Amino acid sequence: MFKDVKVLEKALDAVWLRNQVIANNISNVDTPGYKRYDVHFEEQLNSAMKRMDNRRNSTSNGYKQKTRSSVEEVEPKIIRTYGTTMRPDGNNVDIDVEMSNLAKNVVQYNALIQKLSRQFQRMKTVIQEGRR
Amino acid sequence: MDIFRIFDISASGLTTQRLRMDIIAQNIANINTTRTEAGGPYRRKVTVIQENQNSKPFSQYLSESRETFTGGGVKVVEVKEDLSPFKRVYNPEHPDADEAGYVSLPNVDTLKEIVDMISATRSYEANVTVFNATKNLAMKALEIGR
Repeated sequence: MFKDVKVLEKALDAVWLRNQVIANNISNVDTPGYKRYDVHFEEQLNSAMKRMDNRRNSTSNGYKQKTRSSVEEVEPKIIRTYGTTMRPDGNNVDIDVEMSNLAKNVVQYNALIQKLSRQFQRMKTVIQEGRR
Repeated sequence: MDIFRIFDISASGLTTQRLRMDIIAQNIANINTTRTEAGGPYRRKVTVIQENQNSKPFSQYLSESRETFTGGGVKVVEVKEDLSPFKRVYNPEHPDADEAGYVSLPNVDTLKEIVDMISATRSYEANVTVFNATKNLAMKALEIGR
């Protein structure tokens, strides 16, 4: 019953982590030799969900495989980009890129929160309607 | 995951930029200082900025298997003196002129300090934006299920 909520939860955790990474990048915008961090999780989540769908579709003998484990295994990965230095002090943080990433992140977080709220509201409605 | 770590990271950025501004202000204020306690003219000061790594005991690494991000913001390691040569101006009437009539003035270049000041201001504003955005996100998260 809570499968969709789990996916949203994972996404929210990853978006919050991305926020933390962006904050670290921006606070280090003048630090010589600093290389920016980034968070990768969208592709992993997508492939995990595809695997989940494939497994579900392929249960022809009626045996329900564990379809939840793949999503729960997805962890956001923090990577450090070492290339793309534009400045003589070795710092590769571009403040415009970081600010636009921050704005995108905020919108993504708000959208996920709304979806999560609506999901719970739907469950509440179903429970209440069943009472009548 | 520690929800308030982002605020600490942004606050460290704010503190660092503010310290940079203080040093810049001191440099500009002392642009004509020919006498200091150490003798000689004022030397331009520079901040050395470094990424702040969170130092954790090893046992915490074992327990926090999920937490792989050890970013802790930024910190000022030290305030160093700029070792570039002083400016020498010919002015025999100056009380601090040497035998040849030259006065050593501080190695502070106003233009460079102003450019640094603008950069510090912009970085400060960027950190404030991150802080506000994070605060809004955290408040939004309280609205789940309401």
